[in-house]
Amino acid sequence: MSSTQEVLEKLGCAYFETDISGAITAVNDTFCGLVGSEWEQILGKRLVEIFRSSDPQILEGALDTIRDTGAAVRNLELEFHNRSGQQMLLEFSIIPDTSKPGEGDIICGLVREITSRKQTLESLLAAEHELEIGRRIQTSFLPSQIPPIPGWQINAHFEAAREVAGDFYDVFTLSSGRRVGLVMADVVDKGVGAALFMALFRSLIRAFVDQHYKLGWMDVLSSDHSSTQETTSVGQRRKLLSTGSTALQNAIDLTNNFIAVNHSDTNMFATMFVGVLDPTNGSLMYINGGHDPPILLRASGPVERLVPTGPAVGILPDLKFSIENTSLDRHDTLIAYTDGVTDALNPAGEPFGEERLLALIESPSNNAEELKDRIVDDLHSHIAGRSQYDDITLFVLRRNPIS
Amino acid sequence: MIVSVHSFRGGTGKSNTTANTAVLLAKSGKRVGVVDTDIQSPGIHVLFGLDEGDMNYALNDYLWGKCGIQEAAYDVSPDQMDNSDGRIFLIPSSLKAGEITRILRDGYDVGILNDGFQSLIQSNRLDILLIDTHPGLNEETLLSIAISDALIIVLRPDQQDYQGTSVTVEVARRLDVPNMMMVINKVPQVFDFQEVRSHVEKIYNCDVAAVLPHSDEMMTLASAGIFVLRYPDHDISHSLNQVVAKLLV
Repeated sequence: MSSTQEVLEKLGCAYFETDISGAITAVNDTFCGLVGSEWEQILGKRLVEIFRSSDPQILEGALDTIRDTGAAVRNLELEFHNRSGQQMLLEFSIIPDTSKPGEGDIICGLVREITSRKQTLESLLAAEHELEIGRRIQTSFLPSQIPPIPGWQINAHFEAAREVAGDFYDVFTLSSGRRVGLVMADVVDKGVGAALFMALFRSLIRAFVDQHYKLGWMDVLSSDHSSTQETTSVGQRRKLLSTGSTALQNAIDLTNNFIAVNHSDTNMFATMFVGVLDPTNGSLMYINGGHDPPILLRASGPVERLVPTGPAVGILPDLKFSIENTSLDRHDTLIAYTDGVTDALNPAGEPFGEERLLALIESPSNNAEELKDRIVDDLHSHIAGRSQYDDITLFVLRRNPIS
Repeated sequence: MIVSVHSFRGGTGKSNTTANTAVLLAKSGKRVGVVDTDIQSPGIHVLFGLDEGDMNYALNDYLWGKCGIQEAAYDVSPDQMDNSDGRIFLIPSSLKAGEITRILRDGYDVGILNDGFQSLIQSNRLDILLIDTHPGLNEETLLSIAISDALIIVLRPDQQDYQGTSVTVEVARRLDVPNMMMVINKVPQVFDFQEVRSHVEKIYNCDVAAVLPHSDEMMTLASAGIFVLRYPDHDISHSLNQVVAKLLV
């Protein structure tokens, strides 16, 4: 065997030569091992006899091309069962060899086994396809259009991470149209699982917000009610029991219990901020379940944070979530976001950070859309093309200034 | 001041008590609101002579956001009132079966009721708001009790009423209602009224504002009008003045 062929042998390449009719005239040991036969059984046989497949035209057609046009055939794929019954995928590279004119035209080629490489490629494509489905699930559970709120501006931004994650925001009306519900939430973890739970959380909140059950503190009727439970005064109760407070309390309590009881095995939970806005006077009641405190920027300048009023949602049943109240005056702005914003990394690995976000918010803006765009643009220049790990989700709500 | 008038069971004479108390309060110069929150079985509007045909808007319309609460309020002040300062504004519940079933099916945000009460008190400058509730315990009655400054529990000297009323009293105690009182109604003439009073006060550890006799005049009036206007010197009318006194204390 020539030194070239020794090299081929050492490289593990299966090499063959055929005459012009396609009958094998030479093979190397690797070839014999691949086919599972001894060279005496191989020599003289036609290539298509050795590599019987469901479509003999594949190899025959390739040889025709070479004979007719003198062109090489590369990357020809063929499914093959070798003698031991092993199913594999082969790749052929075949050329006419005109280097030895005196010995007649011959064809030679290499055969490579590419089964595992092909499988990897296919599973990569499948994974990408799944991610695509996951992203589409996510998008379908976000508001396609935010309902306009007279007297208010609201703009939102959502950008999915490369790997599907579980951020979402929502805007809807409740209490017979008297109030507007606002949600900013982040389901822990990544992947299609998080996207599915995002869909579940979002749906449960919307469904439970319409349930008209009595408030938790009214469970004075349950016989195991502890006498050490704090009682509220008439004045306090009158304040607590305003339009939307039952809806808000139910949305969180019932969602929390549903997830904690029915999905305790998956350990999925979400941090979330849910607010109920009275658009006629700007009063905002809210529950913050362990979520990054939304920023309330007053028209006069000061910044307030709407800090958590309870734990993350879905961890354990019957945990306590308290309602807090605030109000937005004219030209006040509420910015809610997920940690995908503040944790976004630049190519050097530095996070965007809260200070930078606050600085952007505190400098004057003409309207909510402008402020939202400013934040998003600055985020993008910070990220500068680095692969985005977490979803970026935020909304900006501003009460119109007095015209 | 918000006053809930409640009974654990039906047929105790709660609506009549509410309507008559409202009139007595108005006669003493107070601006009174009356809300029929018995959405499943409305009725108090009959006592005030308000016909279904006269009702453009009812409480139901307010709950659905079709009108403000003021538009569902009707001035039902009786003609014969000594003091012209007193007024009665009634918010009736709808008698249309479709409206009733809709609320039963969909429910509503009780916070809307509470907000409506506050709004009505402000807009109509009410001194007192009387809430006529549905019998038994449900979301509306719990809400009413929870936001009330005073609670009038109406019951008959009947074993079923006695048992059921202890549930209401327990709830009211847990909610620490500031001013709670009982009105024992439809007491047979043969009963010793003083004994009935002390018996009830002992069971519930709660003041009895009035013990009202079972009365043929009341039965024949049959909710067609206001008893205290028809029979101002009757025992019942005198006793109801004690209720007013306890409220205004």
